Amino acid sequence: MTNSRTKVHFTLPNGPIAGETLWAERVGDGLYRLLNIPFHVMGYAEGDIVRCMKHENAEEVVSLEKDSGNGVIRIMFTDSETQAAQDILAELTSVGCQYERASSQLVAMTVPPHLAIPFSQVANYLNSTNDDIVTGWEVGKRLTRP
Amino acid sequence: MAAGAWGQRSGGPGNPQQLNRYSYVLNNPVRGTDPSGHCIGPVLVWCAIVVGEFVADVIIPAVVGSFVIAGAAQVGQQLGQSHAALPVGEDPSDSLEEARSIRGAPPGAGDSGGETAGKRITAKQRQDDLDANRATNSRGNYHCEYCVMRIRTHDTSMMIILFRKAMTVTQTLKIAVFSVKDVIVLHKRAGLHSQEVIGPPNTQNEICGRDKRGTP
Repeated sequence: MTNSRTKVHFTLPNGPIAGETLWAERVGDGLYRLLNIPFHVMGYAEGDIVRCMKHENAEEVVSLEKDSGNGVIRIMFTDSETQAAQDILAELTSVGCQYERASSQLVAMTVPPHLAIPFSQVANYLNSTNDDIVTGWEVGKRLTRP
Repeated sequence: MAAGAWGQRSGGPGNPQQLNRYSYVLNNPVRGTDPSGHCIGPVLVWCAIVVGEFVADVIIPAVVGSFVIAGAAQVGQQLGQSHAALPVGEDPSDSLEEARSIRGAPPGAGDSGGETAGKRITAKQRQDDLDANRATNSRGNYHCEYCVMRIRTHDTSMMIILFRKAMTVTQTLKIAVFSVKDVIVLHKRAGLHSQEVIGPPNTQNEICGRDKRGTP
């Protein structure tokens, strides 16, 4: 029963996106651990255990059951494939972040609770980037202090 | 602005590069990816996708995308609140800033002015991204980069399959033209789209799930 992979669905009623599905592994009855980094969902991160209910043959996420402690930031690049953008991503991953690329512009990044540097440096770093490279960024989920 | 370098990269467990899992793509996980975890080898790997029950004799190479990056995790830290001021000044691990700094960025906690300091993603930016993404595939939905690559590959491969099928069945040289609906149905019959959007009806803005390297 455990460790079976499935996709879980988040309904996003108040935005341009109607929903988002993420891969997850089943860890209990109605409980799944998220395996993807949300591109648009707020308040959830990779590693979080969520409670789902069956809805129209899909597992609909209804609540956060156990916080992984991971945070999420999302970065909007003018083009994430440029060398300058990849340099930025390399800097962030070198201190412990992980990311998935939603598109050529949007990148979702997991920030672990045990980041190698203070998060303030990450914020300062992103804020100081050239607007021609990073057009914006946001916090999708805050870290939980261990 | 060119990206700066994090401080203290040499030696010891504090060196995050020693835990760099991306050497397999030469530290270029955006271009070199292994989404399913089944590909062995560096950078872009050509994988054989065996088209199953529909036409078992067709093998189509596909360059697959998506990625996951992992690195070091060492010192506790708290991330800022979503859409609120980042609590950067409250974090005890800010004391590390003297040891680790970013070239081109103020090392002091909260020196950036808090939150995203005017760099927050705007609604227009997000909408532009959505529109651009939808334009990258024939379905009109938002797909992650990995899925877009799969869809493109499968669209192409399926047309080849359909063409061959038409040739087999009709034994003519007519070019078969199929509706989008037919293609989707045949895709599913062929079991090709494990990653595609299967959202509720009338949900055109659905985002697909993504595969990810390293997951079992």
